[in-house]
Amino acid sequence: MPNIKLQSSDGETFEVDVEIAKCSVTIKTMLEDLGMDDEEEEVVPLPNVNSAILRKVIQWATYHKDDPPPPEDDDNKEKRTDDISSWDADFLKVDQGTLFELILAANYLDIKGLLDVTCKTVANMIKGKAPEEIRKTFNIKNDFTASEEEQVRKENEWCEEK
Amino acid sequence: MDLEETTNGEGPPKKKSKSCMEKGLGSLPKHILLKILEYLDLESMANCSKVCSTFYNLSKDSSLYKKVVLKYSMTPNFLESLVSKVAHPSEVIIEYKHHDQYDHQAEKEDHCTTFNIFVERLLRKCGEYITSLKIENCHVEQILLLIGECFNLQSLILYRCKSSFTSLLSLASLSNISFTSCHFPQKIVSELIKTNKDLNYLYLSNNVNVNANEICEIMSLHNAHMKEIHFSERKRVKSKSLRTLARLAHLQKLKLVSGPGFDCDPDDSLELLAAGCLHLETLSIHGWKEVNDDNFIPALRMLVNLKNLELRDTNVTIKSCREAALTLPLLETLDVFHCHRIKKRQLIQLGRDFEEINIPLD
Repeated sequence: MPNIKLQSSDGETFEVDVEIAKCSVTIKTMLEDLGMDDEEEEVVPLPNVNSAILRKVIQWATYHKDDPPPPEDDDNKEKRTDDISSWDADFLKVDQGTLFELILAANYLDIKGLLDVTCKTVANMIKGKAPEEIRKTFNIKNDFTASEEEQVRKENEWCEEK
Repeated sequence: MDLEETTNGEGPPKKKSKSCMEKGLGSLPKHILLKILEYLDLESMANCSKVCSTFYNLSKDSSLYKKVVLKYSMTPNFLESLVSKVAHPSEVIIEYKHHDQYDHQAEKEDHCTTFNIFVERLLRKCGEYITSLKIENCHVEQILLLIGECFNLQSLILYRCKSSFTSLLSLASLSNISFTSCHFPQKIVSELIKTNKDLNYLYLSNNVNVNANEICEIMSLHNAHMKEIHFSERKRVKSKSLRTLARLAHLQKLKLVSGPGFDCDPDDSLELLAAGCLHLETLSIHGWKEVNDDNFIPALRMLVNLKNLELRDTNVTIKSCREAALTLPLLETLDVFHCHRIKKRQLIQLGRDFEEINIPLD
């Protein structure tokens, strides 16, 4: 398999199997558009991804290289968050900063599988929590005025009885 | 505050001076935050919107309300804000309370009126976008008539509903129908099935005024695409009707819970069905006592694609079971519960002889 070189924002170069790199639609399109798929020793610059995150992304893509392509989003399909594989769950045991950077990288590189699983992970951190707990988890300030808060509370009172 | 959309490839978002979450979660662009919220159920979403103005504003985005559930137990305030946020829902579920669950008659009338207002508002506002609709425990004529506004419906599920249902006949793109314990006027279900030619899934159980035999005949003439049929109606499917189903060449799954009573001989109907429905993968017959080795075994050799066979509470013996195990190359499950002529030890022996087939014992 031919390799290509990916360069992170902080200048580190990673040599990756082309097929693995192509799980990023952004890189795949770049290679096709620029005709860089031949034997030339090209370096693909990725100015939005630092080396720590790029290393993680490559690790993820390598593990998932033989996965079938992820299905298209279907509005009618139940959005589940309990279907994260144990490998992915372990892989995503990282601090919040890294998790959010991975989301941004997956978004920029257009890797649907990685974007899905990282967003699910964040959703799981929100699910089942009271508003105050959510604020604590993500270090969010409550910026409602007293009257706004009352309005929001009213609109979102879930059930009268359980 | 406004969330600035950061697009692909433009680096980290600009720092916002007055944000409730400048770093962390707030550094994600709006479309990603929405994608995260899409994974939340309505209750988590409600909690989330109470966190801060960013989440509150995001939670109003109509793209988050493709699937909407209106429950009788929701407060009027919640229903009001929910219905106002929904714009293009594809799936709507409306749950009234079961009649036994009301504490007083007054409570029922009172709350029903308020709930009806929001259900009606939702269906009138966006009925045309809904492709899948499920309604439970509704006896309100004015609401059930609004089903007719949802003229692009592909899937309709009704559970314990009662009405004149006259507006159902304006639906013509249904592929899935599931009616359980509903009270229909005479003929309406038959007419509905006749009109919806693309129907491929039909589930009918315990409804009043549904004539399963008539429906079999209609389907055999009008619904060539049927893939799955389930009948557990009081008026049972007779062998004559079963013969007509043999015209449905695409049928993959047929389930008849309670076949006809004692005097109805299946005769050659199973054999004809097997010959016509060559793609049948699942066949379930429960409680048809006249099904026995003589009329079942001849059908077997044509059921080449059968994976699941259930013959519960019938008169077949271990001979049919053994024959099925031998003849059907794809058979995965063989379920013969409550067949009094089959002994448990015979099944255990069969299970040993055909290890690849799942034969549940009780």
